[in-house]
Amino acid sequence: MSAHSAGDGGVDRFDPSGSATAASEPVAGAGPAGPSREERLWDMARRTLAAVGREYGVYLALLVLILIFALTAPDFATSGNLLLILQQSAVIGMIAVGMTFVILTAGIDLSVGALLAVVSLFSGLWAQRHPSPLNVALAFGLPILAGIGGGLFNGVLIAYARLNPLIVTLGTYTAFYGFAVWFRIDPIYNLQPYYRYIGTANLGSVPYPVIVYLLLAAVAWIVLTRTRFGREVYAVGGNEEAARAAGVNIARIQLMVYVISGLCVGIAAIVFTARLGAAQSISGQNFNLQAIAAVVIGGTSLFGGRGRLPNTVIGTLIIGVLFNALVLLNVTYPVQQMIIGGIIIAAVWLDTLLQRGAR
Amino acid sequence: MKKKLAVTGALVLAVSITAAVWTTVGTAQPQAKYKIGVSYQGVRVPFIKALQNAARAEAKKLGNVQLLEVDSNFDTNQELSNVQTLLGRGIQCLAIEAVSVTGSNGAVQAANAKKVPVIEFNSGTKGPGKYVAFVGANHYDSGVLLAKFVERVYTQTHKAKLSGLYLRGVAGQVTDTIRSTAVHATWKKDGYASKISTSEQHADFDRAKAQQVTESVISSGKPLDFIITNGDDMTLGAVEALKAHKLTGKVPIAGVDGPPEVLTDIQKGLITATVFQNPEPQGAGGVSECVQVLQGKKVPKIKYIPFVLTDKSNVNSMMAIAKRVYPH
Repeated sequence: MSAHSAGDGGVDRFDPSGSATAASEPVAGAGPAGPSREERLWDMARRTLAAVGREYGVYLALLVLILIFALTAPDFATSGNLLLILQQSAVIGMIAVGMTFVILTAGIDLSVGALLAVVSLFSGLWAQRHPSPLNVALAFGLPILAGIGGGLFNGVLIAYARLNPLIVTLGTYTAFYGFAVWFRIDPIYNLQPYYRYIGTANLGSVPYPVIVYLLLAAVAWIVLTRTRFGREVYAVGGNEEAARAAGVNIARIQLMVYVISGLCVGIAAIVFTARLGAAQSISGQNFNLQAIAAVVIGGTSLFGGRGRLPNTVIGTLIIGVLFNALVLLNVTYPVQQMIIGGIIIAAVWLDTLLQRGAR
Repeated sequence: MKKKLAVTGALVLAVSITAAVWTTVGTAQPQAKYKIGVSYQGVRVPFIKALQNAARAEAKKLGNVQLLEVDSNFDTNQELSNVQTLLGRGIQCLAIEAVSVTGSNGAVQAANAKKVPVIEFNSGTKGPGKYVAFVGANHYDSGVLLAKFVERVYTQTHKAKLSGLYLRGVAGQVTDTIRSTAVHATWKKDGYASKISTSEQHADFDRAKAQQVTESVISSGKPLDFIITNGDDMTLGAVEALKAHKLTGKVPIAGVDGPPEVLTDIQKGLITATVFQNPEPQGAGGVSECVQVLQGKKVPKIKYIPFVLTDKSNVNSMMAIAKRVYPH
């Protein structure tokens, strides 16, 4: 009995041993006559519940949080505030989409916030200028290229030089920020109205940042679940040796996921800068941890091979709801940090327990 | 067993969130006449905390004011999100203590878009965002006084050229930029540009970082004729480094802000001077000017609260002010 929902094509976990079909496995610790029918049923129920909990528990968690805060936080449950939460989550959300690809391969990208700062400065330089076709093209195109470039830099070191992703991206995190501050210490403001539009205007009642975010998430989901590339990403993270044996080009996949992360940062940087109305070298300093937290809370395993993109979106929303509600509740910033840190730990712990329960 | 642990864990989590929420919500507030949003750049800095205490005291004194407060923690993106949240809650006026002179424009413009008047206090903005009034210190003056302190040291020290440490704050932050510009411009104007040289290091307004940086500079053996800082939390860190190397009282040291701890050290002779910034009229001004605007009264576009170079000769009168607003 497969624990995967039909809509995904069942690819969110790469398991060459085929042990995903729980019912065919014998139950450990059975008596000499084998497990009773009742024991087998309980075992199946337990595994299903754990598997469902793992896949959809975050949805329930988000719902519970929204209910708690609707009751306790002043001005939380208005349509304006809920749309605001979506808007406030959009930038981290986009970075988390790219981060999902990276974490699915058991990698990590700590450089995202720093890359955002650099890219934002490049974009801002041209967004200040008179909207000639060249300036507009550069204002939007340069950040995309720079984002991809930053991702390539990480990717080549990790995929081909075979360096540890944690150390490489920690290094680029430091270096990119150093570059940003060296390149331009004072903020770039006075951005042209056309550029600010994408960060501040709505399509109907939905803010453009939210539309860009959801579009990006949708495209990413399709790539992960309906393309060969997506399957190979899961394969590399789930069982690298088996993937290699199956003919997957490990290095190329690893390179591509960091490029995707950089691309997502590039797009996020445009929305971020347009919304803020300024490009600063010191922006985005805790974006890496927020994005990783969103992915982890969504249930994607840091060890790779397991996770769903929609869950990352839910993880992002959980963080967005928490930040918004804690501000409404006038919880001071240091206490906010403690609460959110505690929740990240709880999410990983819960996920590990549920994962063991499903085997 | 593992399932029980998981369920217990989830329950503990839910209960702790609910508990944290309930203890913070407190009792229901009576309907106040004026709903004012206040955004601080970073309450972890004692001076900003003093601003908050002064603002709260003023609101209490006025009586019919409800304050909705948010903390940007020195991040313009956080500031914008916070201000948008406040606007969503229907504030009638925004009193903002900006994180960045130009980077905070987004937040001010967000208030402009909702036709909510903006009063800037302590930290102002420059750019497309429109504000009704600014009440605060002219931070340029604090840099001038800091520069004059070093000029005074120069005349008291019989060296052709002074070489010192200048501890800067968070790179790109408003007061840090203005102060350092003023320091260098004053030396140039007064003819000291070639007589005074500084090694500038960013210690992020942080005491521990300042201590670390000062230690490194002392250990390097380079001449240290003076230490100036852009924020007194850093002065306190530098003083620790001086203590460790038995240099207290031997290296003239001065910063800006003048919290009670620094004033006490001045009384004891551990710190030479500080450029005292009075948080009381600034914090109170943010709130009271918001109320005046909502009442239709006119407020001055710019109201400056003066800095005072404070050393042993006048420290006691500053101490009286500081004890009223600083957390203790």
